[in-house]
Amino acid sequence: MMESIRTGVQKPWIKFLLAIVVISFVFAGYFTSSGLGSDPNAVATVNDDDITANDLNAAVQAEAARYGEQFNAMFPTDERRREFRLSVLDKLINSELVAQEVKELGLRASDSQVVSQVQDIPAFQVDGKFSTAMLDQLLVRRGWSREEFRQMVGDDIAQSQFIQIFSDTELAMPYEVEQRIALQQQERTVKAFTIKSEQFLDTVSISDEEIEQYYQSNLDSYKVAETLTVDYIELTMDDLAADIDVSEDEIKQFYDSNQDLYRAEEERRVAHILVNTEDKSEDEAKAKIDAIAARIASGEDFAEVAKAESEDFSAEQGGDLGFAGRGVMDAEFEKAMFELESVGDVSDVVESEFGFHVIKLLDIKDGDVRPLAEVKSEIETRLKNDKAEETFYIKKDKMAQLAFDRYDSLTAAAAETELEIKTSEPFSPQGGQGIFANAELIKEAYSQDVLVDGKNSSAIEVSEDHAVVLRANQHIPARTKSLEEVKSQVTTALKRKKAREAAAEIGQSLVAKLNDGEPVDAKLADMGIEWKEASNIRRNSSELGFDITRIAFKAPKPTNGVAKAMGSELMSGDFAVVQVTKVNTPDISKLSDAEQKQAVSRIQRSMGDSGYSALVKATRKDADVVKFEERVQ
Amino acid sequence: MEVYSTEEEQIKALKDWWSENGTSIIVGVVIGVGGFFGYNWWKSENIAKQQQGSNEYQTFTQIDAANEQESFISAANQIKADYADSGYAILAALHLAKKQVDNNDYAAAEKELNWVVTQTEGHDLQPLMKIRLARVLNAQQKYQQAETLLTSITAESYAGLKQQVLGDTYLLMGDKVKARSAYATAKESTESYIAKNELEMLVNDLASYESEAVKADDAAAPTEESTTQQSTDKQES
Repeated sequence: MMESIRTGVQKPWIKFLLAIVVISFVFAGYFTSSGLGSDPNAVATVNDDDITANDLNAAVQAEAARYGEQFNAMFPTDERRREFRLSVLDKLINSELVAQEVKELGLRASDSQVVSQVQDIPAFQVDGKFSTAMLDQLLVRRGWSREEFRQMVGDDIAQSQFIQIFSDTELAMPYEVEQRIALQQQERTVKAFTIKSEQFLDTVSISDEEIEQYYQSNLDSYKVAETLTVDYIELTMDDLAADIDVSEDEIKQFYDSNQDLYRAEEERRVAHILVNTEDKSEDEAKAKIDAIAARIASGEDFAEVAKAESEDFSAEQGGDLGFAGRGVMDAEFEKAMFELESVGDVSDVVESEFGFHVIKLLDIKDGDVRPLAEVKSEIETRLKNDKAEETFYIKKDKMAQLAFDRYDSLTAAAAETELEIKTSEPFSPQGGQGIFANAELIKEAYSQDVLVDGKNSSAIEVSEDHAVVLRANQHIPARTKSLEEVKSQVTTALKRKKAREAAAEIGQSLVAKLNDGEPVDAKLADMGIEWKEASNIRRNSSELGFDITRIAFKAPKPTNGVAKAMGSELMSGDFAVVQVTKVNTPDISKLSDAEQKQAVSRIQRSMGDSGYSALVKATRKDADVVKFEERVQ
Repeated sequence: MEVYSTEEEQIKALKDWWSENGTSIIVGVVIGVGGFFGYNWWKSENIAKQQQGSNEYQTFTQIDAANEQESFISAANQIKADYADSGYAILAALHLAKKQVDNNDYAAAEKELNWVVTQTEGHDLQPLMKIRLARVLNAQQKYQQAETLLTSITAESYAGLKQQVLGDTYLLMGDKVKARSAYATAKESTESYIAKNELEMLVNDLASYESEAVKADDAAAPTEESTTQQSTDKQES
């Protein structure tokens, strides 16, 4: 082995190869920092790009927020919630694939496009003008750097360009428009009758074997989930607050000693010039800002200098950041802007995390103290809540301690905390109403300690101002109802089924007769059934009812003037027989412009929609996608 | 390996080794370092070019195509020439094709889309571009060409869309049996809700043109439950 390498070294191409290897070591640090190898926090990799657990969490939160309060009801178990997370992961993978596609096509937003896009976002505007303060607020809240945000906006713009392949440039060919309109607005003349299944309910015969068989093959419908009834005591801050009295004196005293709380916040409007330290050294930046400060000091117009020199989004507005109170800006920046004495003053050079600034004070909005009468109820609630909060934590600790010490009963805990023992409705492991839908509570209720050992639960925090201790009262295990219990239910279901079949059988035989040209009117008269007719109905017509109309538009058209009958069961269980006697195709040229336009955009949407999902599917098929499902909780 | 007993021998060995291999190492280092910086330079040039393309494309899309047709067309062609290998050229060509369809100039649209099909060779977008081209061929009654083009698409992901347009082609040719079966396949393959609805309408409208083969299949299918779909089939067979 060694020998072969040593002889190998003699050959020039091996030497060259070795040199390349050496170089690759030299730059190894550079390449690994740019992201070779997968992150242990990645929940998936898409062609070597990671989707991290953080990305997934953010997306799951955003998606869950769309369901709002229904989320818990729709995804009640850990299992279902995991499925939900995995489905969100799939969406993330698809959008990563699209992002890569955008890159591959070389679509990339320019800096000026990013800037103008950001300035147009309504959330960043105050009185219709862009405000950097609003942007900074968002960045701080989300923990994004400016560069990251730029990147995101840029990706967004490039992606919307990409989407134009499927939207703005999508075609609607005239022949397609014509065909779709002709279909959409087609009119049919229809004859139909309905055989009610109800009339057979009493005449169908059912044997015990059939009942048994039906029961056995539908066992799932007769399953009952396990349920648990619990005794519980609950402590809420609201209940406590309701019992607390606050005197006028206390209110007045609080008001007097906390004037600051009732002062409308002072706001200042400032303009600034930024020299950032992202793309240059500290010394260069400092030199540049000093020069700028000198120009301002010598009397140059602040706004003009800002426009020309500032490296911030606000440059275009002469550095104007709009009004801002405390707690919005970078700490050093804020200190400087509130130290300026009068309108028109310009600060010395200030250093913040973004770089160096000079700041000019443009305007001040003073804060006034609101009168006692106006804030009285606010103070009362506050004082009540403060007192209630204190009591809440004392009582909660007591409740938890006693529930633990005297684990075989709630009586002691209830007496000591002056709470009433209540009994719940039965609830399943999927949860019940109100606090019994709380996942933490359900988990405790169905735990070994509570369910099996019969102990009190711990003090469960249903929310931060609501605590519950519970113990099992009655547990009913899951079971399947016996045939005896559900016999009448089974019999009814079976009768309905047979009645439907009876109606269908007669209906089908009538269809066959009609299509063979035999008369059926006598038979219909016997059964007391009448034909219903409607001329020139459209797809959305209600004349014959929704489901018969639907069948009428599925039925074959007449051939050589002969109508063909078609039978179909309705949702109600009745059986309908339908004949189409005439089909009218509307005159396209008589359509209004609006109708034409609607058809065109419908086709564009349909084709674009199909095209986009086909492309995503195609890229996914060609991509190297690895999912680490075990890392998704 | 040889064992070098004295320091001198070791130094000599190193010197020999260097005189033998020094040149190739230096050449290797130069190529490596040069390549590294060259790549970085090329990358930033590339980014700048893409961003420039983006700006020009934006300016182009803001042109009022209806009233300033000439500048619209010349701007599109400029982008196609300047950024031939980028997505902006493809986008510009697609805008042009749409404009030409709006003007009923199908021959020109065909030419434009042919260019895009060539340009997207090997890319996942190509089948979509072929499908778009086939629709323009349909509009010119070039049904055979459209059929050949569509059947050349093998990408499974595009099966739904392909069969839908193929259905249109057959219907325009007057072959309702083939059209119905293509629409039915399309309906099964598509994931788009809007498209599914539309295809259902198309399939139902051709209810009398179910092919013999399909009928035979349905007749063999079990029909113990009289659901709507099955009773329909039962009747038609």
